[in-house]
Amino acid sequence: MIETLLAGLDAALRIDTFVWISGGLLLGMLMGSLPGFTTSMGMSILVPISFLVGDPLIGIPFLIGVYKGGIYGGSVPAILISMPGTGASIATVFDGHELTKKGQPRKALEMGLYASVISDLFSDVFTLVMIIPVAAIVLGFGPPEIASVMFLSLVIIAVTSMGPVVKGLLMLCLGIWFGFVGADPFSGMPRYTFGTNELYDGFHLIPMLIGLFALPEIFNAVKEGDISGSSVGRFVGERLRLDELKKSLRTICRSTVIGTGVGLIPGLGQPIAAMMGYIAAKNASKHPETFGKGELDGVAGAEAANNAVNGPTMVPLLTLGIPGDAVTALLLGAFMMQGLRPGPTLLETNGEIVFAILIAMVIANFLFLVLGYISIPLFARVVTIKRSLLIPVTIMLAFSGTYLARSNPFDIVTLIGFGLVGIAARSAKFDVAPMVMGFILGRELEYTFGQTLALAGTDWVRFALTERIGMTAVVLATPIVGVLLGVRMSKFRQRALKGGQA
Amino acid sequence: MIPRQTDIRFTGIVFILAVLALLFSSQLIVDPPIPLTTDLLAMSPRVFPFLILLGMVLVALIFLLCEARLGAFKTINSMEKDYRTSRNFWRQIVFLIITITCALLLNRLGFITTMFLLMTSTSVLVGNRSLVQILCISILVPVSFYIVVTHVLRTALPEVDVVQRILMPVTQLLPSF
Repeated sequence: MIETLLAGLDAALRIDTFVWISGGLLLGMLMGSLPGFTTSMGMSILVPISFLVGDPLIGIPFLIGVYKGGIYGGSVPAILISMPGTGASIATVFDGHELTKKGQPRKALEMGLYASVISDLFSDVFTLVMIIPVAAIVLGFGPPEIASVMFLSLVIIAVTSMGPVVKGLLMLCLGIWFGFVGADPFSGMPRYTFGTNELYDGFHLIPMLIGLFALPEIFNAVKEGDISGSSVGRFVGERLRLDELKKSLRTICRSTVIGTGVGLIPGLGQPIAAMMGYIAAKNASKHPETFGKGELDGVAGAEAANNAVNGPTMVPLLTLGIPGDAVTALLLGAFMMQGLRPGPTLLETNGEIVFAILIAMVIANFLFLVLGYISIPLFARVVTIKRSLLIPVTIMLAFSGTYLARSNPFDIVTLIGFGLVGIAARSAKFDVAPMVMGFILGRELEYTFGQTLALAGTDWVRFALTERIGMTAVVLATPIVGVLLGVRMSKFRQRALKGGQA
Repeated sequence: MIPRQTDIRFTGIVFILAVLALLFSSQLIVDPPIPLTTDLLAMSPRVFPFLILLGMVLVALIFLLCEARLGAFKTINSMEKDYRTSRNFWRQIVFLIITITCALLLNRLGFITTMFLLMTSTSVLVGNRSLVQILCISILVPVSFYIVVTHVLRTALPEVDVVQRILMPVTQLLPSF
């Protein structure tokens, strides 16, 4: 494994990889800075470009750059105009915008940048260290264990999605059902294809993701009309002093731990980590009354927690093929387009590439710091760009990205179809993330479950209770975990709402 | 107000589709022509879809019953009526029609012409009123994107012969990669 790690290090230290990471970081920060543009949307239209460059050591780090940049970029409009660029920046608004009102937006933006880079760096190193033992454990997994972990992940994703649990479960089932369209994995017989050849291979992931994430955003922009940025979007005020950063280091460390833990659990994601980081910072503060009134620790707590999620979400993705959130689902799509299949055997078959990508992730943080520092004034101006100039370009990228992925005209029809589903779901306040996870994992779950049944034979009771006790324990624990997590999440949301209002 | 009504409607549609899929599953899922042994086919192609559709029906039913208990079905939504007559609603409908039309015309009209139509109409619908800006974005961006993709990345995009011939002098001037 150490040899593979060293080979990965050798493969990662390439100038073109860093040029593409830098491009990804800048594009991500641009997307995040634009109010109404989410990281998922930005990544969905850029996934096909990562495929077109051909080399996974360029394409995947490019997308990771977009991911990191996008999560930080969302804090720029949150701080300057009180409009979170991404869901991950909701908690940054509470104190970040108050600092802007006090005439200190520069201080808030710099604190956001440093907190993001420090937490991201530590969580990426943790990921690099964690991936080896986790991969070693996962290598011993057979279809029964993988099926049970997938089942647990799907339940967690459904209960932790935005809104009521029932809505999450419904979207999850809908996503799993969409995954059934096409050939049955065992017999190869068509299911729900309505006799058409185009549907025999099932829906392709990329048009589905672009349709679900990009088209509803564009549709919403058409509804809202042109929104030009506020004149508040200026990068002025004092710089952040070293003693102020030192004072917030404890908060940054605490939020890094919180974000790293959240990232390891599929389904939770950055918004929850940011709220948890913010609430923890407020609870630990000697002056909790200053939170919500322009407290630097509030910005540090939220930003460190949301960026710390980025690295650990790669652990379940790379070792089990389970994406933790919508953005990692997009990364999964990018891996698959490059011919890499995340799962227990990925480290064995393509260990060098995996380590190279993870090492590139760690090094990307230094580029992130430099580029972020230089470009903050620029992205502070980006906030003021009129949306009517960017939406047409986005729709062009959505169409062309879909077509370029496979050069299949049917994918455009898939894009529009899932776009309509996404628009309907969004207007009905249904979260599409569980649907995407269901689509990706449902088919795998069916396949591994079928393999488990074949392994069990006729005496499945003996198989479940003696041979595969681990699988049985996970399956039995799943409803309990689901109920407990569901209850805790609803309490947490209420607390977060109160925290935000305070 | 509107989301509350739309979530019931969305769930209702999902519920009806799931029931229909359950009822017509024998037509929608093809059985293997020869019966396979349990070693080869431990699970019928119908088992998982049946379980998921049943789950969908139950979850949708629970949601609809909870909403009915809260009296959501009885709510007369005057705001929704206002919304339907508003300009926003019609703008969104026009956008959807244009997007679907452009998707269907992409292969026939080619990338640049379709994107010109789509981007121009989207710009107008989003609220841009500057003709210069609209034309600049709708012409320059698709043309440069087309050249980059086809010439630099060497990947095909659908395009009609006339446009390809018009662009040929430009692409010939560019260095080959």
